[in-house]
Amino acid sequence: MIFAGVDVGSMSAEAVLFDGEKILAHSTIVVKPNPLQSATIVMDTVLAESGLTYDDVTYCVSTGYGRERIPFAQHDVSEISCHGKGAVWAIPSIKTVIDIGGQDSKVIRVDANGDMDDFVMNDKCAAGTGRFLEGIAKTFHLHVSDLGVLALNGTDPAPINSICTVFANFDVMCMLAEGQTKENIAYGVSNVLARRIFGLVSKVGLVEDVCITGGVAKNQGVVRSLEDIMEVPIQKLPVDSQIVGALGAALFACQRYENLQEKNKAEAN
Amino acid sequence: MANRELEKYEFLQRLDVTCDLFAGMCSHGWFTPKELFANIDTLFDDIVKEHGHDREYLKSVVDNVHPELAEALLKPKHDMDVVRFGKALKGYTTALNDHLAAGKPVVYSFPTLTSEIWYAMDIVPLHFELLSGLLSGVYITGVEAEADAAAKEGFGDHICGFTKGPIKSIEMGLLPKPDILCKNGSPCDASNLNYVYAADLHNCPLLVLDSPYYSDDRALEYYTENIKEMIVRVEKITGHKMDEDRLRHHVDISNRQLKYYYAIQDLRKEKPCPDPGTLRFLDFGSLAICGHSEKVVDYCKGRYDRVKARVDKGETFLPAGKKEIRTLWSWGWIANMFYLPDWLEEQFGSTYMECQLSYMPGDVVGYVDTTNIETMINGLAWRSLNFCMHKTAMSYSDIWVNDFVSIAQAYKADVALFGGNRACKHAWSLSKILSDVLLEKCDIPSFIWEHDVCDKRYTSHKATKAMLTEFFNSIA
Amino acid sequence: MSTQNVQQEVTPKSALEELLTLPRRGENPYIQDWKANGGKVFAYVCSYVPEEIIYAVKGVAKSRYLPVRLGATGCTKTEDADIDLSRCLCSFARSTLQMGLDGEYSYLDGLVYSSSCEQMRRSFEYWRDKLHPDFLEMISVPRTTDTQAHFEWYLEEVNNVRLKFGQKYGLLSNKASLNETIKIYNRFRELMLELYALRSGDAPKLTGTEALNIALAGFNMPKDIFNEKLEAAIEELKARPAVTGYRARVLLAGSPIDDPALVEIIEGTGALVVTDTLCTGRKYVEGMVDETTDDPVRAIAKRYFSKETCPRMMDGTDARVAYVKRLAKEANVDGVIFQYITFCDNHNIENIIESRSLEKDGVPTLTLEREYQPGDVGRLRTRVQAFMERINK
Repeated sequence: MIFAGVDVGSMSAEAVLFDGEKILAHSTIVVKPNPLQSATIVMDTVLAESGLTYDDVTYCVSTGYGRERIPFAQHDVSEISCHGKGAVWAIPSIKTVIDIGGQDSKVIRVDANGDMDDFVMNDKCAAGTGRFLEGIAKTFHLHVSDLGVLALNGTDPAPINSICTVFANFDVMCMLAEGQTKENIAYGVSNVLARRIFGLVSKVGLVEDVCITGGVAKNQGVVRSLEDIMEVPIQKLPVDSQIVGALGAALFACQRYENLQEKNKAEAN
Repeated sequence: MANRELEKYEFLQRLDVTCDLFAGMCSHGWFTPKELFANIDTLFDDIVKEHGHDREYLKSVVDNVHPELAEALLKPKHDMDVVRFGKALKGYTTALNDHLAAGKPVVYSFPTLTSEIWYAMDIVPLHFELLSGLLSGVYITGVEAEADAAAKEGFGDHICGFTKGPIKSIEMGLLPKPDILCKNGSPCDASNLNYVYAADLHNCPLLVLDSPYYSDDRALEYYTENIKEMIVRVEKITGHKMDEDRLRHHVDISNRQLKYYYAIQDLRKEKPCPDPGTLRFLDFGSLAICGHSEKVVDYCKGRYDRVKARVDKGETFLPAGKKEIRTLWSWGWIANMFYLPDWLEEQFGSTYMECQLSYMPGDVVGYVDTTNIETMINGLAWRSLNFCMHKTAMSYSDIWVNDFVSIAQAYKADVALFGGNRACKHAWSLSKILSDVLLEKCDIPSFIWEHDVCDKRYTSHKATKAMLTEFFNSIA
Repeated sequence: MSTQNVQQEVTPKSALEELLTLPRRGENPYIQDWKANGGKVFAYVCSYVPEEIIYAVKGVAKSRYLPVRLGATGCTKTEDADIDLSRCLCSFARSTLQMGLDGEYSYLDGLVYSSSCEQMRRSFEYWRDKLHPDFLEMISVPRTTDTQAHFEWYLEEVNNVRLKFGQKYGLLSNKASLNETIKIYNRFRELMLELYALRSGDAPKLTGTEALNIALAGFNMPKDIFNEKLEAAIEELKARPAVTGYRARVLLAGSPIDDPALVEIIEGTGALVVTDTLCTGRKYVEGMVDETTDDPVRAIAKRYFSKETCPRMMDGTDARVAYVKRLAKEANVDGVIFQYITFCDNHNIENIIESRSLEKDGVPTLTLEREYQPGDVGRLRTRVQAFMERINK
């Protein structure tokens, strides 16, 4: 049996195929203007790569933007639950999941089954999300994915104090003008984001083990800053951090299918 | 004698050390940080000897002072006023120490009702918001960690450090647990709710002085009754009694103190302005301990004498060759950037006229009649209704707007800076009216920007300086 | 309203349908009728303005006064109000001013403000200076309800506004008209509580969205006509099948909500709002005016002053906590959703106090920060859905 999870984010969309025990395949694409289109393309891609069709999928759960409107999904689950589920499947000892996305950041407290006990999501402010890094990368004429490496090469973080993204950008420009190195500024920027995230973590409470999911998890600069500020190690996921939401959705698909089977069986008796 | 009781609470200890630092570092004739640091061991020796502070703690505190502030305060235009302020505030911290050591009730009171009534009841109250302001103005690590702790609790991003700074500091052990909280309705919902929150958390009585949305005779009578009711309740809760003679003693001090305050205000209208702006922040501190001791009068008198001398001699404190730009601060000073007026004086010749937090017109506020207890409470109520933040927030916008038009005219202001604390809704709602009116009636341009009065991370010092540089260059 | 001349083929709406779909503001046929008959319409900005003192004003013939609650449901932009009030004020204050600037309230003859919160009271000056309503007054509301002096102040404030109507228009309420109005308003409250009981029971007969739509109609109709309609609507509701298929029963608390879209978002995730502590909901109808006294104005003021309090009151925290707990228990909820409009300090901080106490009792809570106009639909939905998933774990 094949279970599918599809997750449409603000910057990328992912799909995961799961057979009840292991990940069969996964795909990631850059998002299209509309969530249904993104979901369809990423599913098409992952199925094509595996030589499968929609008919082979037993049950599909969608999550992320427009999750309620994906016709090939039988059910939708919030990305908050999905990230928790996926992370605990990948590392069973995880208790706190930090998901830093392009628009939203969430901190999720999970139990041993990966089910959510509590969560917190950032407010509308961009300072604690990937969007913040995008803005800074633009100032440097860099791709956002290069910012992490740049930050890692920084030795002395530039003291960026502003919390507000507008003023932080202002600070960065002043610092460039003053001759601060890009490396140290990137380090400083990672610290700003990490402090913001730590604020969210503290609302839920820091319980180890901790992992990061979502695209920003690949930014080693942010990971270092977060480890320094939280003073706990961040567990390295054995799967691509970006597919955790879709993986969680696939796990929910499996779980939900099994529950439905049992329910049907019980009703038949 | 060391204030050992204050050492139990980091915020109070730091406040206590701040007094000694202010008095010590500015009294030796060192005019630059370089001179100060060359002689720092002498300073430490003196302070340790006289006040019994721990030397290592003292060092750590000095390392934490905003370097720009140290540079500003050491300047000859400030130094002796800073010394006198340090001594006046030390009088308060010492009294507070003795009060706490004697196990007397811990009272947090909002300073828009000055504290003579408390002193007369043998209570030395704490003002945790002002403490936040002072600590964030003097120290690099001000109240940011405490504000973050409040944010974790769910206090919204739209609430400023003035409110968020102090609220968790009691739980964090930085301040003593309250026995009584006392708050009037000014200036804002967040500051009111802060007291509600603290009362709930610490399970202690909250005495509310109800601030009506007017300041007429009826409002005065009502507010006076509120104060009397509060006194009765405090007497009942604490067993401390109101003492008329003691009240007269403290009111007499504050009357004399305000005499100088009003006189300074008048002299500030002179051209060039004879009074450096950074000291207005200390003046506010002196209002918070209004009527406490003769040392506060000394501070105000000292301030007055220096300003008067400058006027008599036609002196200016501006750097040679700087043309004066008379600047109206149509919101108030930024606590976390205590040195900013000095920086603007030095950079652009911008002098500080008045702000919403400094403006107390003597002809309106006047003096408290010390005839009897009735007249004193009534007079203190009147002063409270006209106190900064109360007068402006607890009535229609017109009061603020009209005040500033008349200040602009009386002081012959050239420009206005509305550096608004992001959470001051009653201020932001009139920022547009105010800047329009100032332009129409007085031909004064306004520069408007947002900051957090205590949390320097919101708008960094760097950003503020860059924006103000651009503004002053544009009008030059 | 005059329905005789509307001889169309369509089946007339049932009372329930009518209340659920009553057009807003200037489109509202009852307001149109009221104005056509020479009546005046006054908006109040907060539930500390006693409506009865307005409604009881009797003029000649049909010239009467209709109090309506100021709302800005459907407001989509606030760009002009942002310039005036700045972005630092809550979007409810900005939305109402915007609609004023847009001429949406041209049917209003005036407004009665209260000093309740600094957001709303600071839009007073803009109404005064830019929109020049015929009648504009302020009630300064005390910050605590625990002393007689504070009540007397409030009573005087209320009475002053009552008298100003007389000075302005030569019309005044009298004991008889006040007593009649009190009866109508008390009946209104009884009926609303009956309506709310229908949604908080084991088999809810209506959704939270429907309940809010009915409440909105009540804000904007003459209460005597509304009472008749509501009585009929309640019968219709009793006869219809219970709401099913929801995932969790929730209580909704926090800043005022007068836009059904927000409740719709919440209920769209499978939550059913079975009760609330909103001043636009249950709190609005709690507490009756004493009908037996000789001083109706005092009795009216008493009810408004001693009803379930708004968090802007600096006393009564324990009572408010007890109130939310009692309602949560009565309606057997699975969780409580708190929300506040960005910049609403009163509800932001009160929510922390209430939710902490509920969580301690094992009641799951969620807090949403939002704008007055729910534009941030996706993010709101994600949070509520995740909350449903937490509850149903």
